[in-house]
Amino acid sequence: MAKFSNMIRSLLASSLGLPGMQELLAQEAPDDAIDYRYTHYDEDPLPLNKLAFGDPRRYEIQSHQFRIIRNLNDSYSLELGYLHEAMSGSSPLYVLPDPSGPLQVMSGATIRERRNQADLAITRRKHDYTNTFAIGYSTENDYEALYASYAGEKDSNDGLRTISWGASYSDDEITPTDALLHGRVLFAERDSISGSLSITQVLNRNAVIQSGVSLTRQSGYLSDPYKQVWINQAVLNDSRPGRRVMFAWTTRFRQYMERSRAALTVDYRFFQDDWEITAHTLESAWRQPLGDNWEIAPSIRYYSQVSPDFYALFYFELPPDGYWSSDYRLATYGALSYRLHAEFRQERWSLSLGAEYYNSDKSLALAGTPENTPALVDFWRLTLGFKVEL
Amino acid sequence: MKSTCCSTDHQLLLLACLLAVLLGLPACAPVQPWERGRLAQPQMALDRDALLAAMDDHIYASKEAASGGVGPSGGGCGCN
Repeated sequence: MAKFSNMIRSLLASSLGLPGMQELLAQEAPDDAIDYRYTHYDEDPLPLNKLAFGDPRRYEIQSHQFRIIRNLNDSYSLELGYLHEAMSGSSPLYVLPDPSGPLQVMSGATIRERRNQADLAITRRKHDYTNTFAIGYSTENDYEALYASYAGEKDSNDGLRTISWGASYSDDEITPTDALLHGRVLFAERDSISGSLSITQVLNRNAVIQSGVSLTRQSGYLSDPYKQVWINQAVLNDSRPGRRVMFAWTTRFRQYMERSRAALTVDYRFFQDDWEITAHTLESAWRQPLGDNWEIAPSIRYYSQVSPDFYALFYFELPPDGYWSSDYRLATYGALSYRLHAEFRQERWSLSLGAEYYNSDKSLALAGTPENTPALVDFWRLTLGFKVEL
Repeated sequence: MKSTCCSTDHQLLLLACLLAVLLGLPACAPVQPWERGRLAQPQMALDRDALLAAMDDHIYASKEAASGGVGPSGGGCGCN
């Protein structure tokens, strides 16, 4: 029965020539392809009325991503990925109390650094199973990560359901720059292990849903060596617990709109960890084909998080548990991002363009007690992608 | 102890959106192989573009406290 079902699906994929059939049928190998994407990421400068001292210009990042997919035979395929990033700008250090409101201290000199990352994955497709093993290495002047992952998939006999599972491990080393000069930790390690499980179900001929959970455990040096904290006239290094367990539940829904041929997408993620951070992410897009070659996809993303108990803008007493952080990324806040993505497709190649504006603010927080965190980030992202099927 | 702030309206709005999505979900129905053409359209893919999805995860995870999704994660970075 399974063979018959597979035969029908193979016949459909080849004889109807439906674009994207490979994405629906997980055990079908993707075509050999070369993929490139350029991303320009630019954070808005810190407003001068929120600056204590330092350089208000924040991060600007250029990223180049490459990916090559090569099928070795009917069962095995290789995927090689490479990423290069060039970053420059200044970074928020700590927050000072002031009668006019909290003021942000930024790093003085503009930071310049590069990051290179390489990944290699091998996938085996056999009957209704897909198994992928991957390894990767990321290096920058003060950070190295070596990681490995496994992902498995099993399709049901009727091809309407896929169960996916995965696990990953990352071993990271940190050697902060100018450590002696600024009293930072000289060398530190952290590792991360995670597992995930999800199910994808075809609901009817127009709708599909996926829901899954992931659990991640981090241990080691989880503080940020470049962040500091103002505690009653003294400036100390960031200090966070050495262990963190994170849970995420994600559900993704796709609905085909018959009249417009568009797809409505809704993604939701609930996040919680044992630092007592809770976060919600809701994203929706309208993917509209125009003619035979174009697709336009406006989308909106909402994010909200509640800070951990040990976070504060500044402290007037030394916290007795020894944990403190003023990192704006741990604050209670919400963010809205607006995105537009356009793609032009031909038979063997495609070109895509995208733009995003991300705005974060305490007034967008869903829950918690947001404060006037001066360093909350707003950024622009522009992206250009090119893909050729060989 | 964290107190709930003035954004109860936001919470209700999010809950309403989620309920609308969940209640609007059509029940599972048998779908024959020849009826799956629409599901196979590119706009219906769960992950539209692998490189774009990887960059999304990288940026949001380095600027927000939350991370993790439905698949295994990659390595860390010193992003600040």
